[in-house]
Amino acid sequence: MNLKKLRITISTTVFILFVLAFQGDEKISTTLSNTLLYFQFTPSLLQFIHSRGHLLGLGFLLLLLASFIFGRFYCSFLCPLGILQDIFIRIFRGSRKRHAFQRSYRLVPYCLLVLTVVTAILGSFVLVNLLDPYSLFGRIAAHPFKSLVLWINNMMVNVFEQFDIYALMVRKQHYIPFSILTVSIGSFGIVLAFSIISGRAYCNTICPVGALLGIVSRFSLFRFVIDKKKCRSCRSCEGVCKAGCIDIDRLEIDPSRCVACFNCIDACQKTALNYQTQLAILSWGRWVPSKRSFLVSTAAVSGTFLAALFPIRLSPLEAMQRRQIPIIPPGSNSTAHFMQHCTACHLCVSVCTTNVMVPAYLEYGVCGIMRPKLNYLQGHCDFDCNACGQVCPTGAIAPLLLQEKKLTQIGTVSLNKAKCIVYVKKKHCGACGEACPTHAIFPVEKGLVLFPEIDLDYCIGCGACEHACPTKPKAITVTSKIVHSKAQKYVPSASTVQPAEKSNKGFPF
Amino acid sequence: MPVIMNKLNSKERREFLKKSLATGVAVGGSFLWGTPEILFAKAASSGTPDLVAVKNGEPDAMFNQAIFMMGGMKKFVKKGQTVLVKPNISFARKPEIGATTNPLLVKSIVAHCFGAGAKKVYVFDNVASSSYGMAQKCYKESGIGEAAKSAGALVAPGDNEKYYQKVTIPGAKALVSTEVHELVLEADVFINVPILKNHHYTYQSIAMKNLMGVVWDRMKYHSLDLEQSIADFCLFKKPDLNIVDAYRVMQRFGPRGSTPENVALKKTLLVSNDIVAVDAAASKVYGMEPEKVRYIQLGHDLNIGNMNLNELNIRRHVIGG
Repeated sequence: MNLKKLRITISTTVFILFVLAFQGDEKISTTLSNTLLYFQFTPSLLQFIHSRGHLLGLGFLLLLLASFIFGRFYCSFLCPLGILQDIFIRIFRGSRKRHAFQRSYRLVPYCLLVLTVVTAILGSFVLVNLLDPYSLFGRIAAHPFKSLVLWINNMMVNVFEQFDIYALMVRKQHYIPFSILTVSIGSFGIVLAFSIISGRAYCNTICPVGALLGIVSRFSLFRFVIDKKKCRSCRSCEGVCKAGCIDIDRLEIDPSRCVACFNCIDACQKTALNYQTQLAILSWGRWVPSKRSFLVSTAAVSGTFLAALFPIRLSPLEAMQRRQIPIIPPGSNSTAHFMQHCTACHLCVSVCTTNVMVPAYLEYGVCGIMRPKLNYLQGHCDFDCNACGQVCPTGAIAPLLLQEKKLTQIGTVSLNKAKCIVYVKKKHCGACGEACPTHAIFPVEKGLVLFPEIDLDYCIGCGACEHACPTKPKAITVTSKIVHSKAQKYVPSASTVQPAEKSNKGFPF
Repeated sequence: MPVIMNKLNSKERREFLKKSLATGVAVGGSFLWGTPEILFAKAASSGTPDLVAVKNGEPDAMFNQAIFMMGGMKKFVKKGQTVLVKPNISFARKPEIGATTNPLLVKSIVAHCFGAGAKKVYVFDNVASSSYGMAQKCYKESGIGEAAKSAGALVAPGDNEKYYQKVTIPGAKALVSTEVHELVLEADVFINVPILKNHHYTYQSIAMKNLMGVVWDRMKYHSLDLEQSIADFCLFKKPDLNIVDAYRVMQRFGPRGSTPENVALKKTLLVSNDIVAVDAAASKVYGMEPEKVRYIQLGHDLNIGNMNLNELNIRRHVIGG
């Protein structure tokens, strides 16, 4: 069996599924996310930490275990960002431009890893959100890439409509703040540049997941070994090694940087390269004091210290006014819960059926950079939808049953009667009342005018009223609930409706 | 296409037989009661009635009867014409809630249009929620998308501004200009198919209110003067036919509705080309005097139609009665 072809087959499939999952179709996304995201390292780790022993968190343990056996296969088989880089390498480097052995700047990824973990423990997810490979890929897939797909879709709709074909429909992109677009296109550019210039160098210098799995892979059971008797030092393997971890001069392969792509085995004419069991050689490599590595290491270590000393929790939520705190989706339970889970992959943003979910930039403070929030100017949270919780891989938005979701209060409504059309003009409006799905807004008749009134017990804060309200600025607004609560279920008073009028044969006119 | 038309024809033939039988009974009965004009209603020989009311049947059977009493669909739809059927699909709710037009009725109307030789029949609605994606949910949940498609209609989208064109309404008191769906401007025949239901803030939602679903900015109505705007729009366009579905009538918690328990099974269908008259009659079916529903009065005052039902030529029919 050709392991390289197997790798290509699996990774292509995984990549296509990932792209599909991020294209926003509710059915496809919810189906795919359950299986696909089970094996994403950071989301699974967060699930594991926060919901001890929960089945969903076990994906992370399985990955760790598998890495102990097979090395960093995650990076080549399952990581969408890794596969994306492989595609870039394939397209932009082809087979003409050969890879070469790269010096290892081990300290940089390790410092970044430590920094990421330390800041996360201290309560700031800024590095997790920025660097987690799955989330980084998610933002690329959900914003620039999805925009492109929707643009093509809408072009096709325009053509089809000329022929009265309404099979496709116009799809609207969710609102993307410029800052978020900059970040996602910027990270796309960085990853692209890294992959074109030096293969998988991003995974081996910046990615914290890569760094962690690299440490594990030092001790992995299976690894790539050069048979010193057979090798003719033809450098075929070095030329195809994207990670640049084959040192032909020493006939060594650095297992901590190897991403298990199996290219080298495929390239070796002399079968001098083998993927086999070998006990780990516990050496941390030779310390070669060169000016370059000294500089890099010093920068990394001092960066870690500085960042740890730096007030990382700029503008924390506690200091915010209630009105400023973003509204979080049903299932995220409380702002505190949401802050400890979300990695800003924006899958929920992409799947949201009403486009009410938008990425925030710094609204949660620096420590919650790029997390999603509900923006009722963009839409409202559909009463009959719980898609975001179904797809969330980290448990930041817990999957709620539809009946639970319908009673989850994510915000509190308030009506400013000084702005409301009905109270100001004494003319009927009812835009909020007809949108309200929970009977929280009800009419009160005073002198032949129906005035809207609010019963907070039934309000779930879905924002249908705020979205519908025709006044500018809105007369009816929803503010977030820091801790979600349960609304009362509306039970209509005994009906006065006659169910059938079979006996009544006449007309009232 | 010919296959479907053959089917329709055979179905219509069957319906005709049934109706002939029914009218036969009605004729006999009416002679006994001394009201022979009902006899002529079936052939519409005494001129088109202003309003037809049918009761106690399934939605499709009632429509078959009503359109027959109106003189047949061929009177409204000519061969090769394009028809727009505009039901109320404003909420993503099941037909049992009574928030959306009965899908069986829509299907039956579409079939009749094709039976009369229509080239194309479009069905669309600009749903109540302007949030993205709600329109598709409404089309699906209400069952209308499916039903209309099965009868051969083109279910067109109404949830994008690009389909709407700006128009001015001469004589309007509040709604001087608005954006109207291009299908309303392009279609040869415009059939309005509202459902009669309770409305928290206008008391009733019937035919005139249903026309809010052909404009883009519904909220403009709300911010100007809801009822005056509803009446004003009829100055721009009066549907060629208004078919009010009063099969299941939502009595409370409108327009969105609550549970099927708040729905009264009235099994009534009203057809008229006078949008004000049909609203006045429907309001009475609901159990409310039309004077209370402000836009009906405003429509009457603007000479859009006649809300005084006693001045109208009304044909009534009770199926099986």
